[in-house]
Amino acid sequence: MQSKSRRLFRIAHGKLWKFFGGVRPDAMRGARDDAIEQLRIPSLITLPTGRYMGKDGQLLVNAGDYVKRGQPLTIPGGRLVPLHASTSGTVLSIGDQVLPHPSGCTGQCVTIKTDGLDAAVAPKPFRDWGSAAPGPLLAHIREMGVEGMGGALYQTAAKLSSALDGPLNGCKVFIVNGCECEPGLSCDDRLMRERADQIATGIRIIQRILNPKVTIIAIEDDKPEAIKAMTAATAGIAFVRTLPARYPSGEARPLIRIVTGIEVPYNVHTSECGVVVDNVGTVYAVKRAVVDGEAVTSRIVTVVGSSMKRHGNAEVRLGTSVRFILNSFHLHPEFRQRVIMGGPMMGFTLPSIDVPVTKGTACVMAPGTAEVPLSEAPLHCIRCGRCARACPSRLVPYQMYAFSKAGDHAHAAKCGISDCTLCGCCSFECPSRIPLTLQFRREKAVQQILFRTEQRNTRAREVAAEHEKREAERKARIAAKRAAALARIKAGGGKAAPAGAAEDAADNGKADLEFRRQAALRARAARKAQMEAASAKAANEEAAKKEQAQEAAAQAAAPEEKAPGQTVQKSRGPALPYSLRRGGRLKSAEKVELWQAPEEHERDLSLVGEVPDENAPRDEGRVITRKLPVETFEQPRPEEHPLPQSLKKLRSRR
Amino acid sequence: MNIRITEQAQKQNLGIEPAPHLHARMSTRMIMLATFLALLPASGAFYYFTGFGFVWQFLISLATATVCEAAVALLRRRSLVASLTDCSFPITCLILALTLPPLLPWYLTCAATAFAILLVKEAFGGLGMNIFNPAMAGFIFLFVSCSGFMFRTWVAPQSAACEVMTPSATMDVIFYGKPPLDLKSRLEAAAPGATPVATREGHDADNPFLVPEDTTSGASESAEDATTGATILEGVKASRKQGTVDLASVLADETISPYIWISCMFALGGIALMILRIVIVKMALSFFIAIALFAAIGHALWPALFMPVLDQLILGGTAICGFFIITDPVTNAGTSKGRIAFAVLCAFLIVAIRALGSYSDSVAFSVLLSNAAAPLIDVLTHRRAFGHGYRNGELD
Repeated sequence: MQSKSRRLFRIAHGKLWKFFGGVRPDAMRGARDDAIEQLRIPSLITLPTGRYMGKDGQLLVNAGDYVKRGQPLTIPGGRLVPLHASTSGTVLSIGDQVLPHPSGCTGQCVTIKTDGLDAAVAPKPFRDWGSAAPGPLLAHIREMGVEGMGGALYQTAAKLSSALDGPLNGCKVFIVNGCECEPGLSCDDRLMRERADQIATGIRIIQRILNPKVTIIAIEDDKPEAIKAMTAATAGIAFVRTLPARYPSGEARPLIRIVTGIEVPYNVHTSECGVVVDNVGTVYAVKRAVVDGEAVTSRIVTVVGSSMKRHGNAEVRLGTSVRFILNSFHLHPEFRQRVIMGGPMMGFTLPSIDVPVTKGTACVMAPGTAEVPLSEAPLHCIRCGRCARACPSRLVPYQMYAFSKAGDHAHAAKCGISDCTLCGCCSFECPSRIPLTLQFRREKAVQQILFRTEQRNTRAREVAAEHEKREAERKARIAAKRAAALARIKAGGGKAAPAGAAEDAADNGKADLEFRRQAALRARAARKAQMEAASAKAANEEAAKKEQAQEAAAQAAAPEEKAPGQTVQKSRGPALPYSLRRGGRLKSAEKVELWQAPEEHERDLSLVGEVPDENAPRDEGRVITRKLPVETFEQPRPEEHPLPQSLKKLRSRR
Repeated sequence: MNIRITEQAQKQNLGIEPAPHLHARMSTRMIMLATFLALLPASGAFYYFTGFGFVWQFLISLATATVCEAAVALLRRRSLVASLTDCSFPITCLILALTLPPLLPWYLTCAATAFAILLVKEAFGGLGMNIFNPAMAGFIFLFVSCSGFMFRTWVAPQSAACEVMTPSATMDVIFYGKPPLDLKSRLEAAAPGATPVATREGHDADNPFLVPEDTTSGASESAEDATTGATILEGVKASRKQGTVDLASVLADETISPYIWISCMFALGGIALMILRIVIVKMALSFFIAIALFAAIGHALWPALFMPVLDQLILGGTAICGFFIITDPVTNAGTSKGRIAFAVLCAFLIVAIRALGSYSDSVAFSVLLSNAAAPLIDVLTHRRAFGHGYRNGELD
């Protein structure tokens, strides 16, 4: 207990921990010195609805409806947040549009033709938040559509409430992430410099919800003005920590490592470990939602790149197209101009610039080839180890790459592909320009497919095992019934014999029983002979001929009457295992079942079941059991089910 | 989700490339070039102390390697330009030239280079795929197959040797097969100081490598042995057999100063590489510390077998090994920890082979042995990935 609280003490007193790996790209000054400007409202707004509806969400508007800024457009399902119209206008259409995605895929979007008036719905501020309980506050934050503005787009209300309900009973450390998530971005920097007071209010609101023991604002050391502004604004409510500027330190887990010394594994939510990290943009959005009562309808986007006449930080309405932003900053495209959405390290090149800005878009880059050179042809890996020294997850990327490239997914997984965050440090450092991150992205997808396949197979195996168990139980039940029936017959015979000794037994029932028993026994003898013949036929033709004579004799001797009082119970036919029915690939089950299936096909199962056949040919010392058919004798005996040729071979080999 | 590049997107013709879009400036070619340049001070020292023969060796080796690389590129249908400009084979050639005897006949140099490039490097898949250091393998190829030649053509470093070992004089020996002993005796005569103190005729009989094969000048064999420097280690070995490694009897101050100079030049290049972050400082440092440590322990316990620390560090190929050969990334262990383990293993092998081995040249052998152990070191030095070992509730 002592040592544990000492960690909190050290965190509060400004200790910073070391953090392995990372890269220091050449300082891209970017648009750090450009104040946030309000971009004009475009004539069309496109709002993707995918992540604001979920499975059971629903749209609230139809084409032709008039919407105002801040009006909710969807009712989301699950923990998702609603989508709000980002300006006033008429809904033009609801249909598929190109999404901001590297593949250029399409998805459902609400397209709004703006009217330029920017009329807003009445603000719904949350009064007296200073004395409110966390529950209503969180509901309000969710209703206002606050999501992680750093780029991950994790629902803020869900994150905060999972910290509250987490196993640790509340949040211990609340970190406000003032580090840019990528080099060259300046939106967070400008936000902190210009709106520090509002951020401070947002911090107080979240403190009210979480009640953390320590609140820390982490800012990189290349933003002295932001540090100054935040220190002044948050004096008394939070500590400002100056972090060395190194690339992935804006990511949640490296940041937690630097600030608290704890390495939160990638498969655990940080909020479950008592640490909550929120971007300054998110904190600002929380303040806007709670104090001003405004939904998230805009975000600050850094627009940089030498292909544009100017650069800057623009507050743009969500749903503004990238084309509009680039035009506002006077794009002069070169041949095959690259437009990167989301920063130079983890961002992706857009296949089309007619895509909307979303809440996670921190940056739009249009670099020239002089600024960001075109990728060169990769050389061989010389195992220089730079990637291993840069990897913030302490993996050995070149090994992982070699395994992944060779298709050795098991070894790639063992090398720790699941701990890779695709931060791009290894590719950045690689002197041979090998696209390591690209390969890892593919490998992660393959691993996911493999994982799902494995899951499905496990499930199928379970089902097959369950089926086999049921089958065994059924057989056991039949065997027990048969044994009981035999015992009953024997008991009946035992009783009938003394009655028969009296010669003139008047007991009709007993006589009847005796008669039936005799008939059954005769029938059995006949069938036995028949079966012997059949099996011998299958084994040997000459023997079969002899047996046929016997069979004929036996059949002649057999009574032509039905054994009365016996019902034929039909089974549902040979039950195939689940795997076979579904065309599964369970080889072991296949083997087992294919051996049994022909025997079960022979006849419908009866009440009597199987008895060991003494005269049946012995196979490796194993008595082959035959089942007794209970059909009527008029019915022609079904021809012995022929074994498939392949199985015959197998059997003879055995 | 519909995944399709729309017609609209096709028309826009935007450049597509995978993240990250930024790259560090250092490229493989630059690494190779920097390593080559870092070897130049030592090469200058070599020229001054052993004469022009070294330059001839480098040129022969370079020509052979170029032909080999071009042939392989043509055979594998690779880009000729790319494989000839990857700047890696000149380093192999330079290291070979620095390690081979300066007066070695040209065809042997060709053979060593071809072996190094074709068999050791390209047969494994070219740059980045070889498991053994090509230069060291080429050296050992010659050392094992014709060591007599190696000893006969070795020139002990001596100040201002370049005045005697002129291009034409060395050319006569290397290309036209003139006996190297004449040149070597001229060199010896030109030595500024006195003739070396000890001439150890008695050792010749012990040394199978120094038994003359073509006895053109059997009388001067003793003189040759006294001045052969690679064979300073060979002399050490011989004297070890006699029960002492007292180098004072073998080396005078004038004799040892060239070795110190050459080592310093290697160190100069190595430090430049460290500043450029091509050589891991920890690795080179741990190599030399390990050599010193093992030598100190060995010398303290068995002074008859182990040379003193300073001699271990200066003689033979310790300097080039520590700065340029074990730092070859391709044949090395991967992680920093693994590299340090690799360096320590190599240092241990060098000291051990010098004391106990039957070959006098320990560096090349220990480098190859450590190369063979590198994959194992890779496996053994597993790193703890981020977040592994996290205990819940650390903040309570």
